[in-house]
Amino acid sequence: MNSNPRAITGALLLTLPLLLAACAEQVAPNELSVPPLPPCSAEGSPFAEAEFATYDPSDSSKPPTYRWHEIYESQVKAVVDAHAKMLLGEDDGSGSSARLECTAETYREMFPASGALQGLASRLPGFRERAGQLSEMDIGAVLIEWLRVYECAMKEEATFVAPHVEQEFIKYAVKDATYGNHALEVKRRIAYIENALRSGRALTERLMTLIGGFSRLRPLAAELTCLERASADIRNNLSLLGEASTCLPRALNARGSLRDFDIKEEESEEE
Amino acid sequence: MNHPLARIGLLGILLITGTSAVRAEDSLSSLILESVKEEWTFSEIIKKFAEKAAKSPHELSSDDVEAAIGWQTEKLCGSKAKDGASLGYEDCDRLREALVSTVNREKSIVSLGRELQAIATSYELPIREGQRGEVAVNSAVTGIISVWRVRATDEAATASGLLLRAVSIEKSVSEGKAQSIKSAYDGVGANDAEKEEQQTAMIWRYSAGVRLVRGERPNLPAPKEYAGAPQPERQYLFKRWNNVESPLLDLWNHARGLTFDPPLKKNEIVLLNIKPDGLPDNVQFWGFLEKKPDGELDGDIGLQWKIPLDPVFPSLMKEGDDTKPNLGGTYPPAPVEAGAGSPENPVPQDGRILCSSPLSRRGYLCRPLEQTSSVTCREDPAGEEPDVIMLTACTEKDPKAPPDEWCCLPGDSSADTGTCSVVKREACEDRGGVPVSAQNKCVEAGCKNIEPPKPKVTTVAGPDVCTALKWPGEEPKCKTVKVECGESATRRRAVTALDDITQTGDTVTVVLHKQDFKPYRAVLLHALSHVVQMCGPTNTVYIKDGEEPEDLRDLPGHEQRERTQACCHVEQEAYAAEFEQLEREGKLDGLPAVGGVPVNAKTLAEASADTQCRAILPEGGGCRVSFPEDQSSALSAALQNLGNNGKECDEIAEEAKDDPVIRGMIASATGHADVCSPGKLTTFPPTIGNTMCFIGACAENGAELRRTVPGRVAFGVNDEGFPFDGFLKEAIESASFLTGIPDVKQALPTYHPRQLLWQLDTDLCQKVGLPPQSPTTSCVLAASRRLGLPLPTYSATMEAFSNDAREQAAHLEESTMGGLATGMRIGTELYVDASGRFVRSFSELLRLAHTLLKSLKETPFPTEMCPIGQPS
Repeated sequence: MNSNPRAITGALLLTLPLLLAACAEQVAPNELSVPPLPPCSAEGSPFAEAEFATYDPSDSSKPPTYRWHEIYESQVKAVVDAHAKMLLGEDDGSGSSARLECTAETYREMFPASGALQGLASRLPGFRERAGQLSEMDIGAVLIEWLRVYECAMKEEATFVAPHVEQEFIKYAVKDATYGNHALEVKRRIAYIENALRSGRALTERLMTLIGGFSRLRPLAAELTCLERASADIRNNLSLLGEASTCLPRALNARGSLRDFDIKEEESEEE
Repeated sequence: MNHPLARIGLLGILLITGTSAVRAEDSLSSLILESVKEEWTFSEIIKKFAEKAAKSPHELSSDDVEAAIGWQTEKLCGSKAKDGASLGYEDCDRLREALVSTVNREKSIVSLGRELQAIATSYELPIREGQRGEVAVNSAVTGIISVWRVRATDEAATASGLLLRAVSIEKSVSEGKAQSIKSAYDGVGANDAEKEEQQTAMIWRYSAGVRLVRGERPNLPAPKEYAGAPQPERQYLFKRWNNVESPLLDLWNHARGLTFDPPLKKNEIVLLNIKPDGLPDNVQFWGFLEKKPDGELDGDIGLQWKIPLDPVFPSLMKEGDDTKPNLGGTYPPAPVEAGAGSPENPVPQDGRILCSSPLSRRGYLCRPLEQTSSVTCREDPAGEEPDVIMLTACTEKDPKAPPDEWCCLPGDSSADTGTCSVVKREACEDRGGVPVSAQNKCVEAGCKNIEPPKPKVTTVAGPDVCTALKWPGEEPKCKTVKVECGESATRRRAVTALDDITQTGDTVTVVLHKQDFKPYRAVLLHALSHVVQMCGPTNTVYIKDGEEPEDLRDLPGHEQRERTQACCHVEQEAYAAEFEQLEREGKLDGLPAVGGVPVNAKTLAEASADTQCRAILPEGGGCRVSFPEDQSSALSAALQNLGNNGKECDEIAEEAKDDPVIRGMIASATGHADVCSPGKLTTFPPTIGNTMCFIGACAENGAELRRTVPGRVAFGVNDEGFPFDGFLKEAIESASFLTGIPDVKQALPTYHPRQLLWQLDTDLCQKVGLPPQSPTTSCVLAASRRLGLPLPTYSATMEAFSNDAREQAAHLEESTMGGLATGMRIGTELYVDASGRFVRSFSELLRLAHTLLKSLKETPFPTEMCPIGQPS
């Protein structure tokens, strides 16, 4: 087992805002929405719905194309890109810049989850039930769970690769379904799985290193943005108050009159 | 086929199909995905390097490297025997190992470099200049300061007082340049292998700015290349690309020729917004202009990564020749300290390029944060070690050092001779001035105009920030009030004043007469009351210019009566201020009642005013008093018995400079800003600070100019003008939400690396069941322990022996992982500790703002005009 500091760094950096929020006195204790670990299996995950290998119907003797890695990558990309757009204040079509809830009681409520994150969570066995309550700050937990589900599915596939290839040969009526070709396909598939596992983890870790660093500054930046917005509100309110305060000299005038009068006339009278 | 690299080769073939099209997108995930995949499939240059660097008697090809990675021994060595030197299984395996270990090592370097870059990027990107987004700390802070601060002009200024503006360069100009750069970028390198290396180096090179690289920035010489030994691995760090420089220079020339309306001020910075289409993926322009104090236009334009992912790796192949690998080992000579010899290899100056931009120049890396050592600063200032980067430090501030210093600011033109003024230390250079050690050195430095330091205006609650705001059209009658002591020992308290008040131009001088009767502070308050009256917008007088008090006796009766009225108003107020002070000091305690009337500040003020006015205006009828008129002089006489225990005159005059009450009165006299009278139009930049100052000015104007007789300070006199004041109910609960901002103390978190390492060592020893030992290697499992605890069978015991090393390794691995995890958690704790408090001060502020707004919204408007209750 590789002891990779990046995974730990990324995971911790991503959970920092949660810890931060939990430690801040004014924030009610957060309920971390990391569910208990479901069994390590493809069952119930998007991988169970998609076939591992697809064959070319026009020429079944061609080696099949493997789909799971693409499924994994496309989901990671969607979630991360939505997150990055939110971080950089770009509009992802869902009004991301307006997604910051400054009046929220907790940091979790302050950052609602993106559509992509909710979509992915709703397809994960562990998160399905609570996809609606997720915050964008749960991106680390969801991505790690997605990686785990992916790895479990791949390992399961590696365990049952021989009977699966056999079933596929029959199902797709593969030509030259010889024992040798079967062994070759099994070998090819196992090599693919092992490599896909490595690259999947490396991708997730690198992405989390980057996002984690951004997320570290997020609560501070969000507070600043909210302070900026609140400042604008205060300024507008104070402007109204400033307008009203122009009545003070009149209201406090010794004559007790609130009517408009000419200052020069008044002064000359006093003299 | 059990070697990971074999799978990597295959993965390359399997995964790379269909991913090359990703290049066009430069979303974060696509960029990372591409770089991660490239690491697992090896870049062309790594393969080329392995091919050329491997020591083999045989000619190798790129196919051989692929075969070695893919563990295809037959393909690698099958054809090698024909040269005569037969390649046996062992030789072949050695060759394969050499190739594989070379690519693997280079891959590790690339991986590590990208990992470090990713960490740096994740920290730096959110705080990069010009960054705008939700994680954009800089712009948010500037925005907040801009909304809150008190400022007289509408210029956008940053926290440090910098003037900033942004200008876009039209696409019609920039797009052609972008295309030139794109074609230079695409066409770089003599072969495919070195292309990527050069491309990466090119963007990093010009991220410092094209003019800096060319040495065209004043006071910023171009980074010098180390002379002497060749440095093949760093060959691109100093390389210049002319076909990139010329379009960048064209853009610079265009930018510097722009006309600005209004024209640029000195030290103003213009951020150039250049966003054309057609630049290479993940690359963008940056640029700025800066108007120097000498009027010259400085600035720079360059390229930068949108999301920096690749650092400049050590170059693997000699430039222009893909047959010669850079085998390393040629290091440049050590840099020489400045002045110690040849300047060819000077010691690099930290942060010179980093601090070349006018904005980053003010960042904490270029200007370390300093905090005066105090209880909140737990770090030991003396514990500074050499060669250590100090981001923040506590410094012992020299208490004798002046906080501000003289600074000579050159004039706008040759006719203008420049001005010498006292400014904040760090502000002088920022404003383009020359620090001057003393006022008399100003002329030497070229500044003939000398601006005397302005006295700081403070209030009881602290500095008066509103003085920074010059209300339009405001021109106070009195600008300066001086307090002095004069020799006039013969004068005693009588009808005549104890002081002289003279006005010369806009300067008022109060001279307190030195005499035996010593309640100087009270007398000074009396005098200053008259100063406030004089300097106010409406000035009531009873002795006109050119008249002497003695002349008033000869005035006709009706005239005397009118003058008496004015005299009573003016003097009662001044005496009230004086006697209230004496009352506070306890001087009036125990004085017996006169004619049944208690002796207090109010009765004394009335009596004194009455006595004085009667003396100079005998036919005026005197003032309205609370007691029988014949007792008036008796009351005044009571004062003569007051003790002479006051401070000396000079002492009081000196103390007056810091006394908040006296300063407040002087500020009131010199700063009468009639900004809020009916019909008055006042304009100011709409900031929170300015609006609050305006509201304050309105309240002040209302109380000072309208509440009582105009031009008076209300000291309890003229109560009869407002008979219902005592019965007023509290109408608006304003005090409930005007609470102060909480003071959240900041502190540097305490970090004890040595203790943490010790804990890790202890942990390692505990894992093998031993007490903590030093060094930690003493905790290694002793192989002999199995001899004392033999297992049931010989074979099991033997197996246990052979597993010993693995067992030890497992513990070590576990400790390594555990150590990292523990380290991260400790780091997290430190972070939470520091930022928790930091963020909390923001949330407290926000909460306060929220409460304020909510209270404003919920404040009920009174339904009656003046809710008057019963006397209490």
